[in-house]
Amino acid sequence: MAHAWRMKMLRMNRKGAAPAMTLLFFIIFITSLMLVFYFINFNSSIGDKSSEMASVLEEVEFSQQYMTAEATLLAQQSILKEGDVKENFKSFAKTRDFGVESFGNFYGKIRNGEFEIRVSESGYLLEIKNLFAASRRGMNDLKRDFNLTIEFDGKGAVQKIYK
Amino acid sequence: MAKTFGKKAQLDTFIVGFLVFLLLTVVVGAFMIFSISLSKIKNSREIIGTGSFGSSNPLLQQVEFSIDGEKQKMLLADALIFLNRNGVDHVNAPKFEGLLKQIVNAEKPCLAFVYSDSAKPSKRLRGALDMDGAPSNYIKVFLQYENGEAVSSSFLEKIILRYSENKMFHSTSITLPSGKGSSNIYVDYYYGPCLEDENA
Repeated sequence: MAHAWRMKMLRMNRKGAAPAMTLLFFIIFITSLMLVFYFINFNSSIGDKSSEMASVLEEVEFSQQYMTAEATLLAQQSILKEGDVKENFKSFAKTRDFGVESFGNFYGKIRNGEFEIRVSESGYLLEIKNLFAASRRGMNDLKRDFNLTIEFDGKGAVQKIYK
Repeated sequence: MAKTFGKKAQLDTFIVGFLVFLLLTVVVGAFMIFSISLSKIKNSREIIGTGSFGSSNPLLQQVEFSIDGEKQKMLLADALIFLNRNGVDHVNAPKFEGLLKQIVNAEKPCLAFVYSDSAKPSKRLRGALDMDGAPSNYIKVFLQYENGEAVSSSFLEKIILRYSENKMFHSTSITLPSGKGSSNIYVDYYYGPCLEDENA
């Protein structure tokens, strides 16, 4: 008796599942078509935008390299000059600050004294935290965050650069 | 009895579901902690170079440059920005060429340098040459180290086109502040050994 009842329920469930399964396949089919359509359009649009995207990437890459090279030069000049090294660093940086947008908050951090340059075992250690490089072309916008740590010897020669 | 059996089944389903959820949470949590720790270790430990850092990019080379009569050592990029802070113009081009001569040497004897306020300046060179001379916002320099000094070439456009066609240029750009909006300096450069038959 119980067995017959369970079999009946199973048949009923199967019948009930049929329209739902058909609908599911239909939804999957439509979604697949939409995805294919999207991929086709995406491929063609990326060709138009690739130049802008490449330009944004190149600018951010260069800006990070610039900040590393500039910090190195400023520190070297500050170490070799008499007086307080941190004040020297700020003073030299002031002459290079032309308000370039690509260089993010680099000169702002130095202007506000948000960096450390201290005597270490090897000579001097420069630390600037939470820097960013940014670039924007049309709808493409990129910002890269990083920290900069550079070790110098007592004469201002670079020992190690960390990022 | 059947009611008791149903309740037990529900309880079992709940316990199994809860354990699976707990396991998933632990696995995802462990993965996230591992990923964050790994990225922090990577960020703080990565050495990117020593004193020779950026030696292949002319804009990161150090040059002697005078601002307000005071001679100082600065990056070529700073000098380029200072000379073109009001927009790219031919007026300051000879001064900038003098700075480029400081970085050409026996180790890196050839420097092709093109900059403009329009993107990809080396690719647009052919178009610019078809016009009656290049426009004033388009500046190009080619220098070669010969007999201990940097010499400008008289076959400028032809040589720069050769480097461009051989896909030897690297590109970069700088966004300057300009009133309410912003303007760009686009730079294409080649800095290294010369191509053969430079004057051919």
